[in-house]
Amino acid sequence: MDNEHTLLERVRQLDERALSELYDLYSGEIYRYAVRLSGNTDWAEECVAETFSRLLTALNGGGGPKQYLRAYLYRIAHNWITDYYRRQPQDPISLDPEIYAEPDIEPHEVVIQEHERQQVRSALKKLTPDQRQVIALKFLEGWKNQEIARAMNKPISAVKSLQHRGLKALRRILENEP
Amino acid sequence: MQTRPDEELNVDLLRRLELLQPYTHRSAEVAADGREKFLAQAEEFRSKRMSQQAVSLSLTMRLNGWISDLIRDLRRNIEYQKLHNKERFVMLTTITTILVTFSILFGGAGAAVYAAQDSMPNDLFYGVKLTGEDIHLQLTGPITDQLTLTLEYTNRRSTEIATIIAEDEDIPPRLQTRYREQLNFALGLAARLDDAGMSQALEKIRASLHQQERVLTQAMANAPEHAGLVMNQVREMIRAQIRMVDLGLENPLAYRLLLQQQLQYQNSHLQPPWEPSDPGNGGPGPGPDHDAGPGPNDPAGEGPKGVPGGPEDKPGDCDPPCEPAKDGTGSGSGPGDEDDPPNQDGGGKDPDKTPPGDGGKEPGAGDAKNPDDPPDTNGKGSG
Repeated sequence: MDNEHTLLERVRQLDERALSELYDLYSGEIYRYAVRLSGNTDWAEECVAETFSRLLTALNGGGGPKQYLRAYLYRIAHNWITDYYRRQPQDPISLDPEIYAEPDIEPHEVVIQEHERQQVRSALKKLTPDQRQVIALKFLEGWKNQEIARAMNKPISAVKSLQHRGLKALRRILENEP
Repeated sequence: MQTRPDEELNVDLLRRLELLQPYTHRSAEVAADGREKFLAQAEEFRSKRMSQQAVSLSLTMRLNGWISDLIRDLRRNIEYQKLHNKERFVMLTTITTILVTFSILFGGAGAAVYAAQDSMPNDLFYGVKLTGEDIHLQLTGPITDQLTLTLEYTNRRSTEIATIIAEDEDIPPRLQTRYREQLNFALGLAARLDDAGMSQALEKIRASLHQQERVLTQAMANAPEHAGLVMNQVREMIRAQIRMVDLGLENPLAYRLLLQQQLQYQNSHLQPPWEPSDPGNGGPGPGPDHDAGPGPNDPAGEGPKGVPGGPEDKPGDCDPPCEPAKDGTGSGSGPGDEDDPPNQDGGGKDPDKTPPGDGGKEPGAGDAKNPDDPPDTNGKGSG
């Protein structure tokens, strides 16, 4: 935390080395977060670029994070993803999915798995943004409730509540999927 | 239809979520490219920030130094007049300068200013005229108005030069200095505006410069041979300023950077020649060019000091325009169906102008504002 605080101070000064460090530290995470939600690497790269660009714009205007850099970046990414979903009523992954395949898996299983992935992503997209963020951070990124609460600026109880309702909604959506 | 227990359902759900965990790893090449673009954007912001700070600092320094300059110039003038046993002129100049200050400060067009209006650089009252210009500029608020006034003064300088040439007299160095400083000041004022405002300001400056060049070109046609060198210097200076304006119109960022570098150079390398080691010595006396010593308000320096400065930067002067961070809240999904996807509208907003927040507020989830709220594109939802 101290390191992040020090880094934040330098980042606020637009210090080049600090910004390089910041990018190296978190761009991979943001990419992973976005690609897991979308399954599309181009889309994820766009999310990373936009997230870091918005951070700079905010810093330049005197805004930006006051305490938690990482949480702030995830919030930007989350907002971008939500906005992207809204602007793209069609599932962005349905047109040109990039199929992730483990080396020792049979081709027909790859297809089945990918179909399942698409179903889950599509279901996640139908959640409220808050529910989606909690589910994604908790079950895809492995964050603790406290970290999620910090990133979302909500009490832990609210995070737990969102998680409960999010899972319930996700289950209902998936059950209704063909 | 057989219903599975909730727990079993969640296990199945978690298994399906885990399917999303493996992901296609990021291409190192694309990552490096993204990093480079990010750092380039940062560099751009950094340069702009430095440019704004430099311009602001310079103007602040000028403003702070202005009053003391005025008093010092007045004192030097007195010293100079004493040296030449011209007490009555001392009194005259002192009273006149005070009158100028008071008449302008209290709204009247003072007789002293009026009397000095037509004075020429070699006249005793010329310093009063320049003081009047400075005070007027100090009392002028908006940057655009300051610019208009400054350009008017530069027009005066070019006319003065043309007049002096026509009278077959030497051009005092301080006139050239003053002319250059006022042109530089105009360029600096333009840089304080936002890009659109700066573009308009630069067009205005360019029109003035072309007009001044025409005046001086006409004057040169009849200029005596010995004035040729100085006139060429002046014209070259105007052309350099026109090139600077053109640069600003083509590339505002480069313009601001260059201006910043010039200011830094001036601040660090050039010491005003009227800063003697003994401040009580009224500076250089009158030279062969009939320059009556350091008159009131004669900056006589190469640096920005002495150039009339504007008021402190105002909040609205940011370039790019400052955008206060706003907090926003999304609004919730409709009551009674907490699992509905958010009803969001107004997507694709500028992240800097859109309040941060979440697109849909979860009932009961709380919506405390966070100082760390990032720029958001979906800050408004409809409940």
